[in-house]
Amino acid sequence: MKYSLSLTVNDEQYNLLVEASHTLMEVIRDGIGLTGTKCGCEDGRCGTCTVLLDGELVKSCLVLGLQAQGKSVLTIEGLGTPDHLHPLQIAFLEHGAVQCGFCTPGMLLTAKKLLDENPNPTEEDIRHTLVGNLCRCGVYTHATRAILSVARKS
Amino acid sequence: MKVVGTSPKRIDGIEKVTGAAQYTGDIVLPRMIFGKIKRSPLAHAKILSIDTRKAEQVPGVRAVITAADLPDVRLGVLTRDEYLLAHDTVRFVGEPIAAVAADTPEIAREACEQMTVEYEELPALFDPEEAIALDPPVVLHEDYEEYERLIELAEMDKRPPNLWQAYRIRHGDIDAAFHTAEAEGGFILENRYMTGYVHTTCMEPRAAVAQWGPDGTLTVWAGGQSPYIARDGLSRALGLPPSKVRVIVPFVGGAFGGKLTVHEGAIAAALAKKARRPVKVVLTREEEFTTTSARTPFIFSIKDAVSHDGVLLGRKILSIFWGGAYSGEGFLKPIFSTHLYPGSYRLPALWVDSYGVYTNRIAGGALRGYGCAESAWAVETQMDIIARTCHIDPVALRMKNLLTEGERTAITMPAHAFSAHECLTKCAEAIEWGTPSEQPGHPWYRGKGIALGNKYSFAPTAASVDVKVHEDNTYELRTSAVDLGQGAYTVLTQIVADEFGVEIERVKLVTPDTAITPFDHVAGSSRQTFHTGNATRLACADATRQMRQEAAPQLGVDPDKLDVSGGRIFVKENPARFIEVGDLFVVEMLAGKRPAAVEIFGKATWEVSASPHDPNTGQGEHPMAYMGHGAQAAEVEVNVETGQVRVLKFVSAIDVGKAMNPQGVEMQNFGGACMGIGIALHEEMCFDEKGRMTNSNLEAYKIPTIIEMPRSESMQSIIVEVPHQQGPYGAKGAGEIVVVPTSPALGNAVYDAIGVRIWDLPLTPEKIVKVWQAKQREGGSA
Amino acid sequence: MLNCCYCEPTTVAEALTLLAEHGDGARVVAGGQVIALLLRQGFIKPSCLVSLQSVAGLDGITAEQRGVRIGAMVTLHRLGNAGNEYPTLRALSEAAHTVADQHIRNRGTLGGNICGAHPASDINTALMTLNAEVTLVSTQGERMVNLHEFLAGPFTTTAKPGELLTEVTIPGFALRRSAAVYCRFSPRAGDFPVVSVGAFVSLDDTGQCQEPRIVLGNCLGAPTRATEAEQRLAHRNLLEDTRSLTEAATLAATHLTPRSEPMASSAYKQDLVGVLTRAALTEAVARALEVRP
Repeated sequence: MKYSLSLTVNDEQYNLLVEASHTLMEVIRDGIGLTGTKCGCEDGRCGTCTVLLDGELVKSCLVLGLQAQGKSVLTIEGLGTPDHLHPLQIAFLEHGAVQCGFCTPGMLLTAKKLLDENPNPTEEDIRHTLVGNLCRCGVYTHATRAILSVARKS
Repeated sequence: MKVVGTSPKRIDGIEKVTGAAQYTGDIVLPRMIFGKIKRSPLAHAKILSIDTRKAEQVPGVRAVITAADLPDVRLGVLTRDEYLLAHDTVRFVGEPIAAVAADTPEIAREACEQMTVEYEELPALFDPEEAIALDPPVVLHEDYEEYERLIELAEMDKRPPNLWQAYRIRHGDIDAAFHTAEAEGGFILENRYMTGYVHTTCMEPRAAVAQWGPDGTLTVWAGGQSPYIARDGLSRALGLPPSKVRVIVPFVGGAFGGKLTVHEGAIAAALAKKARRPVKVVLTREEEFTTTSARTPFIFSIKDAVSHDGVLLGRKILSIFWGGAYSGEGFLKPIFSTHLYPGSYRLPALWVDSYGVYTNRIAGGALRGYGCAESAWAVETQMDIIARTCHIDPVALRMKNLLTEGERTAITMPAHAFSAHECLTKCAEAIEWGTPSEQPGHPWYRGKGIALGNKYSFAPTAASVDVKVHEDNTYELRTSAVDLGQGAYTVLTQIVADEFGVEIERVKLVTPDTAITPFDHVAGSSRQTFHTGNATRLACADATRQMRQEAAPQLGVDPDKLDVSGGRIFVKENPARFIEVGDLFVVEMLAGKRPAAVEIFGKATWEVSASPHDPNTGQGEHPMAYMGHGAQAAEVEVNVETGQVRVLKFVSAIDVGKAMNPQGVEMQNFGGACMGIGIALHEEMCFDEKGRMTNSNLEAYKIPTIIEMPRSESMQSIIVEVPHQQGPYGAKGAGEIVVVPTSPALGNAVYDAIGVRIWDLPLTPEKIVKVWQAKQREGGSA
Repeated sequence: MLNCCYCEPTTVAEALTLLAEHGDGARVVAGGQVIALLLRQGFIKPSCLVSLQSVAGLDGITAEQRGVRIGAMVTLHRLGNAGNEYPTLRALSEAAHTVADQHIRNRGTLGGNICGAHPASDINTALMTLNAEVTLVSTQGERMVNLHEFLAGPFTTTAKPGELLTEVTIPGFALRRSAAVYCRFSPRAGDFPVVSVGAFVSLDDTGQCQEPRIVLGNCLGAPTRATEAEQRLAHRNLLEDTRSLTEAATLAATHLTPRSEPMASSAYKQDLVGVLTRAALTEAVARALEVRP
């Protein structure tokens, strides 16, 4: 059975029809067409589908689309644009925290939430927050440096 | 301004940080439908019948295919032993049998479940040491002798029926070496090692999109390591001439050896043909684990003859590569792994028998380091034991046995740009080698370990590059080299910028598309900076030659008196006399102006030839393109009660000849450390007694999280630059050497901490507790 | 293809009516994480998803005479901080804090975690250590069940069709000098524990241990009390007889034959049970003594 779902994604309002079983990840990727949110495992471990749902970090493959009714979602496409990059996006590039790029959107959103909550995190804080975002290229060290650099600037 | 040697932001970076980068799974085409693959639940069985009728009746199903819908050809790189979809036999759990295309992935999955396959289960064979017997309990490929094979095996009286690779090295007098060791106060050291059963585990699962054009041309989008290998594979599997196959490589979410072939691309293509619609196939994480490239284990039995003062006299190795149901992407591993047997050491005698065998598991494939990372586990642990046996410091022991520039290894590879000394020295300094670790107290014990490694880059190989010059002083690089995350696009762009003397922003990149970009062998074997880099320089030189040629009449001087830089073609002796690049092109053709240059298009092919070694002796001429060197060291702490190992400090010192992009090298160093820590300590594919993988998800198969890495200030990257004569600007590759010494460095550190060896990777907590308890029972103490 | 409806009731009563209507076909969605996973993998095919997201009154934590009552929809994130305010919840907070990662703790709920009945659930092991009771309501009425009886095995509970877990009660500690501790081991961060151990001790004025509890997580299908080890501690004076902690740890390790899993054999898990039990008991006694009588 299809249900009507209204939600805000990156400050734009969307109305779609979704199945009860559809996940937020499917809504974002297939329904809205924002493919910066990735799908790496579908069981909540990899973190490539990380988005902010009403400002909270979630793995969008573990949220039903209809649970986002009336809520606001921030995906990587809303973090910054090529002309107006978010400081974390610049820092990730400057510090070499991007390799294949598949984990990058999720990692950036996790980092954003961390800094929103805690503008001056320790390395330990960063490690405990990023534990849910796996990266096989191994950008962890560079991502840590990038996040610390943004924290120091602000 | 020189761009090579600096670290500009990666040129594909904006797309990656903004989510705009399109990976294969992100592609949507009009009328596109979704494919799923029906797979064998059994490790070994005869297929009696496949009934697809119920699957075809599921609403939304558009096509169902089995082997009957495909040409009757076997695939395989050097041994053609595998069908795209199984014919009458399945040989591992997960082997593709049929496929469905439907309106949604869920419908396709449901239809696969509705398909009925009747099997006659056969006994399965999982143990490689049983498999290699002359009279094994199970023979996997009864028709092996009929298979097309592109390389010769070593001669043997009778081939064990499950053997698909045999290679020998006979160098020096091995018997004399053992005799000398015994007679002259030296010693013989014999041990058996095994590497882990591990997986590439790219964050992006394999995927493909296939679409047929009205003229019968097939286009496949697949994020793989080589569009040309993919094109040839598709051409063979589907019976198409290569010119009818176009492969486009979108962004790739990591590969590490796991994305060489495009089986799912061929399946998508066959489905698309039958459904007359574009088809997308994306593997699930479980399919990734159970059916794509695994680094299956090697078993090494190694026997060293050593003089009393630690000089290697000879080495004898029997190695068995635990292949799977097909020779797969591991086809050359039993040969290439032998490069690390001498490694960087002088070895007067080397005797090797190296075999690859079939078992009823997933085919053994490539994973960063193709054989060398595995043999390093045996060789560099062995070097540590030798040092301790003759009471010589492990670094000093290695130094004592190193080759010198110009010497040849026991397998005839010349030691050129030989930097092992420097890597080892710098690495040892950084880890404060010689200063014992501070001990925190029971149950935690700390220790340090070091290991050396090298990694060949294979030959023969070739790379072609095109460079198109635009009238607005922009330079377009067309390459089939692939950026898997390692930064190839950025490095190649840096080269173009320097060759034309322009800022990097003036270089445009056309990414791999076999309809547009020229041949490049593969993003593998750490080869693109070296080979594609050389081809890029040559293509740029070809373009500047044409620019000088076209400018000469306008400037009234000989072309060889001209130079090109910064968008100008100028007289070398008088740079004030110049024309702009735009002046070479006159666009108002209809006004009657004849263009000075219609098209400036540089192209070049760089090729390194090599002839294969004699499979009976392992001897021949210059077998590889180059050797890269590196050393790594770690400090660890081990909890002997839980078995947990924490890596406290990690140093990676690698020689890249010339750091084209120093930050890129550091990223390889740390990325390699991360993968290497996973492979050494955490990762293991586990199987039940029926050959089914029992941990095929990212919770149970444990690639490292950020917490398994040392803290950022405890990670150290050291770049050594010993230029290679043939490398572009002297450069060598960096992609694989960074995981070669990692396992033995960590293993040696664990030994230093707790005083017990573990011979088989990975060094799991359980094994650590077990060896520690055994040691306590024997009355030892740390 | 899957004909499934989705309802978002606003009261418990409405939710119960929906559950009663759909019977076995209904699935409760709390945080929804396990449901999303099972749906996507095709493991469940419910006819109705009943989301509790808009049901009022299921996300409170209140201290009462008989103990602390925690609503089923309290998130693991919030649970992770609750120990500061409610001292008896300290071990539960520690357990909640170790679950997976921040993303998952944000969505994960107490009720969802309990009813998911994962054999390695940190929450269930900690709750059993605290002798928690769950409240189950249906259109037929309400009952309270000890968690021990509620968890039936791997991924199964004794909840009847139509029943909804609305809250959990953690009884207060009878003796002042009481403490619970939760210890776990996983070689990689963010994973389920290979083994976990919860220990509860309460000491009377003389230091004698009353009604100890030792709960072993991820050894069998559901968290399991190590009864022999508990008996070894009962009525021992733990201030004088510190050897009994080690003895209890040894007994806990041999109490059962844990199920093996990839990369952890039964024997290794037994070793870990011993190590973690000793650590948990030692810490529990230390914490109990911190409490001023």
